[in-house]
Amino acid sequence: MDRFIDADIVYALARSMGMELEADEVQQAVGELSYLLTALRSQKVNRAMEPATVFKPVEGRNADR
Amino acid sequence: MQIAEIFHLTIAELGRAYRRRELSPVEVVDALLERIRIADQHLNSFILVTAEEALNASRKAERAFLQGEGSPPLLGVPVAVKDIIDIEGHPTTCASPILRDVVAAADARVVERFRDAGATIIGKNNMLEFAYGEVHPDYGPTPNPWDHRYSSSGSSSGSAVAVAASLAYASMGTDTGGSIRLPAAYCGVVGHKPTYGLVSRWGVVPLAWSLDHVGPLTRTVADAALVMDAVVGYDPRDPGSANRPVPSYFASLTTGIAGMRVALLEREVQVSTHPEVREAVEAAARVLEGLGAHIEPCSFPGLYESIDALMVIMQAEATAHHKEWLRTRPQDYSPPVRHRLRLGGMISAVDYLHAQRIRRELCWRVSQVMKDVDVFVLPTAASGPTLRGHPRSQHREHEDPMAALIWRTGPFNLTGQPALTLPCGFTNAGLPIGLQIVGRPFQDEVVLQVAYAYERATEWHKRRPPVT
Repeated sequence: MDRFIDADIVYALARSMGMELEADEVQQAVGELSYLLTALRSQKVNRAMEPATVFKPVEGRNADR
Repeated sequence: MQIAEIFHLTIAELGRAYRRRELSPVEVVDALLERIRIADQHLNSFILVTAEEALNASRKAERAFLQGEGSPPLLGVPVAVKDIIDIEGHPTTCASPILRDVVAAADARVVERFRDAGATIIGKNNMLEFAYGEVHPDYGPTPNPWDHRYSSSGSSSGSAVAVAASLAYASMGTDTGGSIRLPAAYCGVVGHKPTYGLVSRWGVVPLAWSLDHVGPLTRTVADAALVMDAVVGYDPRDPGSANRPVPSYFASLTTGIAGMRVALLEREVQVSTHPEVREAVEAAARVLEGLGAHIEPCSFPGLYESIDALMVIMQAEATAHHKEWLRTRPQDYSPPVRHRLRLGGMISAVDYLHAQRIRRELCWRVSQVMKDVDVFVLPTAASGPTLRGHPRSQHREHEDPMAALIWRTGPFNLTGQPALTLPCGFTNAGLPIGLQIVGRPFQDEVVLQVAYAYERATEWHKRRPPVT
């Protein structure tokens, strides 16, 4: 498992959201985030697969906007 | 008619009994309230019973029947909603102390639709805290009515238990990763997650808005179709609502399934699946084949892996909704939910977008596979119900147990496809097993047709849990 998330990062992220975590909570978060995000990031995605956009191409009088 | 028979009637049978004046809506509600009072001391499936309002509504229904007015389809039918759905004048607690005293100013759209269809709302069902995988100790668990030692799963646990125990004829639940289908499967009832956008979520507290669905839990497929007919429809107040025509689901039930192409998802049937479940699902496929469907074993790589994307999207969106309470009222969450919400705050925008790209690819791949098949069938869960207090799934170290629990249901929240569970057997311990049927987007009627054909060919739905 990549250790791209460590306790310092988790502490900093939690503090940025106004949260104070205990040491055991930090360790648990490090383990679970590393597990989940390693699995996610290992998945390759076709280049064409962008998330859906809100606005579709407009036809008619607003097309040039 | 014996009192006990009344509770187990289908919605259509109840309606017929009303129209023939064999039963009165008032006596049915009266009897049901008494049944809830006794049975729910153990089942804990209701957070709120709206007894006075239900009796008033049943009196109105009775007058309508006596005056021979044209009766809307659910007139006088007692139903409930999960306590994540607003009913005007009552708190929507989400089984959390945070919302215990926050009173809804208006009915949710599905409640409006229930009232328009004549239904009598008898209360609000217990659930997992904020629909996020855990029981809050203030609200307590809802034991499985088939055997109280076992879990009823969640998060629409109270809805599934109430319907299975015949304390309501239907309940509306919500499903973000399997929260209608898993408790329905564990309790031996029908649970339908409609296509994303088909049922309005206005007035429903979100868990993860791009994955949330509202749908019915009932004792039969025909009842689910009747409820769907009542609650579907475009609602501009829900940004995800689909503005498109819908068929009558009840009227299209009897179309039959001869010639339909049914893909049996092999990996989901074979891998990490309890032999009892595997055998029940394979037997169900043979029943469908006997009804004229073409069964095609199908491999669908990527479905299991998509759960990583689901978890990232769910956690990020849930935390976005909860971030203020997480800062100001962290002590009011149960420790596991607080932990899961905190994790969501640590997911980067890059990871969220990567998860959305995985989701989009999954949707594209599903659309390709479904050019050649009408529905998928697979187990709803890896096993029958698990013992309360024991691990709910076989999960790896550092893996969220919820992810391991929902990998057969969650992919269809990512894709938004309609997905329904219905009973297809019982374990050796006498607990229900769920069969999941998944269709193309906006072809909920096909899912219901397959389920209806299977249900009519089998007897599983006729079994009742031992509730007195």
